[in-house]
Amino acid sequence: MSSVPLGPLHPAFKEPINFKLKLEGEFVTDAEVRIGYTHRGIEKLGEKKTWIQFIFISEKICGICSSSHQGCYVQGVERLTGIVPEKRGIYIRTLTWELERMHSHLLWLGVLMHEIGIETMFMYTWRDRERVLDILEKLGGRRVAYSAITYGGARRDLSDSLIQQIIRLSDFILERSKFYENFILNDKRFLARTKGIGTLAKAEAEELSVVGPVARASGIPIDVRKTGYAAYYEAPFEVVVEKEGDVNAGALVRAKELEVSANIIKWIVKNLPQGKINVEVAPFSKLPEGETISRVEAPRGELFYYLKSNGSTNLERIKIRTPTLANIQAVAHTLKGHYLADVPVIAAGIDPCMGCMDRVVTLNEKGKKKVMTETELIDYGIKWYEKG
Amino acid sequence: MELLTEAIKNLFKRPFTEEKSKEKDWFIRGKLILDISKCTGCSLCEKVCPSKAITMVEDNRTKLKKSPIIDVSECIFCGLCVDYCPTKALAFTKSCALVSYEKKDFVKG
Repeated sequence: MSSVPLGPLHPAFKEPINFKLKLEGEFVTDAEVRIGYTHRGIEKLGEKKTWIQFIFISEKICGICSSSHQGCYVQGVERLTGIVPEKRGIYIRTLTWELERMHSHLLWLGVLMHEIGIETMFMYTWRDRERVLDILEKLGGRRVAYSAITYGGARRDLSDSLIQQIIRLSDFILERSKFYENFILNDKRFLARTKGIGTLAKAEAEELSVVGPVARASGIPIDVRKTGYAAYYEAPFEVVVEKEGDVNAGALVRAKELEVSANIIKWIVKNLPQGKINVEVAPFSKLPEGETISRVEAPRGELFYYLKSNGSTNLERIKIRTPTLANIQAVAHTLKGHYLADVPVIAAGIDPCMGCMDRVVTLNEKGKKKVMTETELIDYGIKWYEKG
Repeated sequence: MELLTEAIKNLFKRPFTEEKSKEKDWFIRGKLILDISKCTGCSLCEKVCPSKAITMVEDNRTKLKKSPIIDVSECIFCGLCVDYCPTKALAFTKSCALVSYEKKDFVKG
């Protein structure tokens, strides 16, 4: 029996996270997860900026699901202030979310292939993702932080040539998703590394309250889009559900969701209403008193915002819960009984985003307080880590 | 086998990476540019900026009491100043080259 710390800095993980693994030979018998290495204090920053400035801070929380964060925040403030969004703006907003889901799923497929060692496939998925990013750049002006969403709808209107390009892109993605599905179901090397690896049964998934594609791969048909926010209350789509719950099922769910997203985009572009795209807001107007919540389906799962206002220009409290925080316990659970070599694949299987997840860390030391110098703090940190 | 057929197909395709930013309708939120002749010195851009990249200073560029200078190294390219400028004095350029050895190169009027 031996104990191995994996992380915080480890070649298998793209971002810092720590797993304490107990090994029996090459098998993992117990795993414990420790998070909090990339805490940036964004919630506190949100309390210091005005409600208009925080739109652009919120999209910096995550580089991949930036417009989901932005949209979730904006949707919450719209509920708080009673701004009625324009219909065309809402449709463009939904289009941005779906384009983002496409690029996120393609990125994740690439990362999974990279962890397994199929570098050619990694290149193919990221090449296809680049086409989605080109469209997003034309829509918002930047590749990653596109700032395409604002109060009452979207910031930039769609031109006719851009609509044609979006239709061509969705046809391209529809064609490519067939190729990915075929690859995921039939490639021998891929099946050997993912079939039966990291299996999360339906009952376990319900107990650990996982969200998003991880839950859908385990057979739980949950999707916040089905609650009917933004343009989803009109757009026809089906929730993709698989039964196996392993990494292979997760990959299949995401490959099929590419198809669903492409179809939603086609529907939106076809049924795009005419009119204004956003509502003008005075730069230093005050928020009404109150509190609200907002939920959207980010590419990784359910994203949750809680907003509280005390009647000034700044929000009093912003609480963010990201999908990775809900899913990370499932990794620690499913690692048990697998080979050490499968740990990166299982960890990558939930599409983790540590930068999203780390909000605040509370270490309960029963009310002790002490002022320390930097060297004392480092010594204390080393001792604390060795002890626990 | 699926990969091999895909690889052979790709042998006969043209290169995927090409410089696309030169296309006409390509919208890029690049470096900010200030048309000082249109500026009225209202300082709305300074107040609305989330990253405090714009500051109002007294100088002899115009007859105004104060006029804005932009620190591009602090800018997050959100475009709130462009949206709220009442006389459209601020605008985005297509330039994204933000490399320099000295901090003073980023500060401009």
